[in-house]
Amino acid sequence: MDLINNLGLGFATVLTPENLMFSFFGVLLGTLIGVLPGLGPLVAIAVLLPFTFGLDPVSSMIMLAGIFYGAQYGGSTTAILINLPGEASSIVTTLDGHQMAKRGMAGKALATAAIGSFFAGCVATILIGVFAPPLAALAFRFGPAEYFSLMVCGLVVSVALSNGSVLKAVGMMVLGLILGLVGTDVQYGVHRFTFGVSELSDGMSVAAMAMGIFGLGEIIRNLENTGERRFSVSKITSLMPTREDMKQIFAPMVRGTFLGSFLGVLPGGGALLASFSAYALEKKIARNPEEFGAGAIQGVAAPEAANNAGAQTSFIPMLTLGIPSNPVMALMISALIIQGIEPGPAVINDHPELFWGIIASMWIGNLMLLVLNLPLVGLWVKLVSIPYKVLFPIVIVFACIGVFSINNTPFAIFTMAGFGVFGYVLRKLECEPAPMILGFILGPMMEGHMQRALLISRGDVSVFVREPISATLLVVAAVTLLITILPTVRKTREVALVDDE
Amino acid sequence: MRQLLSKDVASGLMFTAVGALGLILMMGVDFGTTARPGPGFFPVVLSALLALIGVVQTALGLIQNREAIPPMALRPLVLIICSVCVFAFCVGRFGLVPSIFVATMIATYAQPDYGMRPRVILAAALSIFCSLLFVYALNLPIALWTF
Repeated sequence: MDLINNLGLGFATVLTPENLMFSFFGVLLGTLIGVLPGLGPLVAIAVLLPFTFGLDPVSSMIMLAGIFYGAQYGGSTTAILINLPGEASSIVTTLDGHQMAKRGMAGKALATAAIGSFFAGCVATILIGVFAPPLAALAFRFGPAEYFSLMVCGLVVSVALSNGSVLKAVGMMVLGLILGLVGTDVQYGVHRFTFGVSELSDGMSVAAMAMGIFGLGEIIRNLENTGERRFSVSKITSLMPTREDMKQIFAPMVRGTFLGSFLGVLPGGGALLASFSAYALEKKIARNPEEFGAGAIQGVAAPEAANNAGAQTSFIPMLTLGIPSNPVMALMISALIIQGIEPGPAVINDHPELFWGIIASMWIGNLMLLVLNLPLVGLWVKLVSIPYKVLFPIVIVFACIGVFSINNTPFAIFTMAGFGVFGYVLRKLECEPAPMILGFILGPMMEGHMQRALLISRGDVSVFVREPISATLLVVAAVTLLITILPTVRKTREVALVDDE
Repeated sequence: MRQLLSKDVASGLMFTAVGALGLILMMGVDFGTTARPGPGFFPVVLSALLALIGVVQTALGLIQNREAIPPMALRPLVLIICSVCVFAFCVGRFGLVPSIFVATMIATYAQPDYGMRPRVILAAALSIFCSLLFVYALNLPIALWTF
């Protein structure tokens, strides 16, 4: 009954007035950010990192985690009521959620989304509690060769899960790996790719890169269409779903939760892919596929459950292996490092209160969201009426201050500007930035593990295929890559991953 | 119309250029051996791989997909980047308040039909709000103004 003891420790950590407050603050901010289009959790977390400098590690992680999954909730509210996804992962929710609202069932759609998310949050919390410790224990047996192969595998999976051309995604990944090497080489102290710029000798900042590409790049793209947004807000009717509705949404909710939990762990997966896949699955197995897109309640329950589950399980690789599965997790890792904690398999033993505290806070946070969200719907809807022309300068200023205070040098702001241009160009060229960011973070780690593995094996490259775990991971990577480029799979992948933008 | 510099060709050329640049920059750096990889080992392998990917991507782009690169919206691009750079330039020299004010003013020009009044009001409000939030409430070590 270790799990119960451990969760007990977690709840004891969270249930202090202070941590409850930070959790509440996090989910509230997260919902706010989720509601506001153009402000994603990534940007929010980067901006809010300086807020956490003065907090202890547990409180800061609880708050940042709250922002992340709170944003999944907030995004769906606006998706249902005004057909405007506040968050990329709630794009699918607009399909049926807004149709339900149009047919006078806005309240029911909101309640379905909230219940689906809550259910998924509860299950995902337990799944993390059950699977993370054995994974961390396994990770303790990993040597450098295993870590190297694991990262190769992770990068390949992130390529397979990205949109568009596979070759471009591989290119972006390698580009990211190279960018990650900018700075002083740890082993030999040689400056690489620094062009003699002293600020580059510490490498580039992940926050500046992510904010430039996702924050600024997105703003510039949004400003292309200068037309004012107009929308009609649907009236909210009775919130409570009937017993009949509950019966109808239960199975989709369960399927969405498990699919989302699985996809959340994969690198490059996370909430967006989870919600798309869950929707596709429901549509495929539904007895009434023609109702999808016209207000099918399953089309709200499954993706909402999936995106929340995916958001939460994406903490697993970060907490157990120290490897981020998406850019948001990369920022979480920086937050932990700032706090003096090296993420990896040791966290669970050295800082059990942190590990189990985060998990317990997810459950509490989800409960808060359920209670908070439904009565406050009116307030959130008001917030969306803030015009974009007021919003975007605020985001820019916050981004500048955030990046400046994380890195303590104006150079980081220039880096962000540079990546802003690059991010915009990448959008025009249809190059997916996500594999690049993962490569950027993994680059230096991969090099270190590779060097150590080769040193131990005295230069024998076959070490990566001789060690059984490492070999298995490489086979998985190879098979994934092969499957991705097979023509038939490519076609279904295109259909499954189309972005409706 | 036959579009020579399509999306795919341009991305291929970009990969090739970065890969080639990486190889050139790493020329003097010790490559080492597999038994003792030097600081140039990993970057050289990656740069070569990226250049190769770039060449294949360019070739594929020339053969199949000729989708043109959509036009860039220069006005928001230039103004937003300008605003951020001005902030970076000013924040150490003049302090937070003037940096926010000027950066906001520049950024708002990215959206046409912005009146002068709302522009100034937003810039002033943001300067005050951020000073209160970041400097007074959060104690971030940033000077408000240096003159």
